[in-house]
Amino acid sequence: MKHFHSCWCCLLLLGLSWSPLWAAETGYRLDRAQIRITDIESLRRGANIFATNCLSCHSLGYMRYNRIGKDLGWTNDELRQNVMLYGGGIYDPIITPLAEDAALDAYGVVPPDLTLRARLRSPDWLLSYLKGFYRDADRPSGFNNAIFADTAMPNILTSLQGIQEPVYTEIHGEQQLTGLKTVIPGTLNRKEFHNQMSDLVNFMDYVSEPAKLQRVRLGWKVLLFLFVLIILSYLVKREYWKDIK
Amino acid sequence: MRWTDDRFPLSDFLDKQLLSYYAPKNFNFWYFMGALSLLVLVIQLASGIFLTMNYKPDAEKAFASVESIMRDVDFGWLIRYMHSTGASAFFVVVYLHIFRGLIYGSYRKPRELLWIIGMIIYLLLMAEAFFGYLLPWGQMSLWGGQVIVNLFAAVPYIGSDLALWVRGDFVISDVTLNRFFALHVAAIPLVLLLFVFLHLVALRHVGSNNPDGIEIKDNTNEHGIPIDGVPFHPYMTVKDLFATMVFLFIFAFVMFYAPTGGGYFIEPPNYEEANPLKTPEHIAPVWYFTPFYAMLRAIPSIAGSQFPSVLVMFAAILIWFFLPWLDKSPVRSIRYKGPLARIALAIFVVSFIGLGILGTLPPSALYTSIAQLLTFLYFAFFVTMPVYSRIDKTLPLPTRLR
Repeated sequence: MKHFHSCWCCLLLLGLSWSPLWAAETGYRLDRAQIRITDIESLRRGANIFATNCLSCHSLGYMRYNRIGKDLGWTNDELRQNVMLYGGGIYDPIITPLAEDAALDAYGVVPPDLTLRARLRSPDWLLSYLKGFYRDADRPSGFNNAIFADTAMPNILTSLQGIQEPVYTEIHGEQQLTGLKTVIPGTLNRKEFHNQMSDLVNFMDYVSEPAKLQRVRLGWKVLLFLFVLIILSYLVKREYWKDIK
Repeated sequence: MRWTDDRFPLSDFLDKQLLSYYAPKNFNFWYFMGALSLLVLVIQLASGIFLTMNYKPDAEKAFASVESIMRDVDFGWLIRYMHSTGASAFFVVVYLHIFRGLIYGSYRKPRELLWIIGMIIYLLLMAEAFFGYLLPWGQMSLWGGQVIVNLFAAVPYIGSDLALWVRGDFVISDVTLNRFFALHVAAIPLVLLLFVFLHLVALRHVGSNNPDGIEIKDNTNEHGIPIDGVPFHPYMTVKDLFATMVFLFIFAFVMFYAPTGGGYFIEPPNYEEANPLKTPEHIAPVWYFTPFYAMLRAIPSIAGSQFPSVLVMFAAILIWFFLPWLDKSPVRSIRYKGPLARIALAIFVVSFIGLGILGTLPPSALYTSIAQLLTFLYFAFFVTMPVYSRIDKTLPLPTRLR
């Protein structure tokens, strides 16, 4: 009878743990992003990379500057130096200086707010997207993306990454994009570029859920407390039930 | 105490409910789920009240107000994850609770009303979850809501008027958000509490069933006290206390280290604000609705009408209400039922979980065929029950609890 029960439990758990395939639409392999939420140095580097490269077009509209300062241990002056490159108030939300009309004129779309992008797409997707630009003469910007075909975003990372070209492989009788190779090197080598983008993705993951820093720090204490209560309540239960039967 | 007792039957009530209420002593794992559902109900009410203090039921502000709860409100993230984890936990414990009733025959005479009240609670819970899911105003909130409201539109003749009446607008809009908010925080919880109360009243009247499916009231000592029973307090209370701690440990683990439940408790597309002009590539309801969603998709439309599949989906839920009269077995518990009942139950579990998995996946021809087969098996479990439960070879019942 005991076996009968545990069997049902396993089936239920199996049903619940089935993982959905939210990402991966092409034959192109996603990079694996290393998320290190407690690596403050990496988050700081990422914040700076975001401010220098992304903030000119993209907002982090649900996030305030002072929250970054508080979580990453920056003084207001350091915050101004590293992140607030376009001015604004310490308690303001992080808004791009790019006006919507100007964006529409230049790119045909308004660049999306990126606060929640890491939760919407997954860090792996972001990292692969950032590393996935390749030369494509058919696109107005001259570049396409391996993860997000026909993206409207221009390849602003060329000077760092260099220029990549696509590698096609025949799969099931179809030419499919399976990789990218560097044809003109940038100022960073492959590894350095990967590390910078990892820091950026780490930062974007943090921005998408700043509470993650708090929850991983608080969680184990709560669990430890509950574990003690489990033991105590078990002992109480055993004491009461020892005379039954 | 004397002063109160002269004016209010407090001691009397506590004595009747806790000390002289006898519960079978052989309760196992499955019997924790009732107390745990009550616990989750309290968690949901408490966290929900705090969320309401900061949430703005306005299509312009709703999405941003949820992010503000996650960032600007002190421990707002904890309250919100408590509520979102609680929603899934509610269905986990309620599904296990229903399954307990199913395997031990807790729906059999004299517990038919207890069962029916329970099924009404399940329906209310689904409504509560559905209305609440619209409130964060993300893409999945909007489009999931769209799918469900369109079920009403499938009703012949009055369908489109009915859907209009539910939405209060021609599309899901601010008007819909406002009324769903009212239903989620006031109307449904009140009715839910009433039925939970009735569920407990009915339970206290007929007493708990147990894994052996025999009545403990049939074996009493000279004082009329069931030999195989133990007073609810302290025996059941300390046992439930232990279960509560284990449950809270798992609950806290999810809340702190996996609050999105791998994309099942909080779906990634819901991190994009609702946009009526942009349909998501793949709309999937939250996991606890997916078995029924799979049935909805599996039934082909007849003469261009989606109505048959809507009927099948509602029938799949309503058929549970008839369970007490479908089971003709001379015994209640699966422990003493024969091979036919066991096989039928196994098929049912496979079909329900299978449909649940299929409901999360994008449709394909193969999946649709499998879903059709599983839907057939799901209904076969209920419809053929009067036959197989009657002819099945059952084991002899014990006279005392084992």
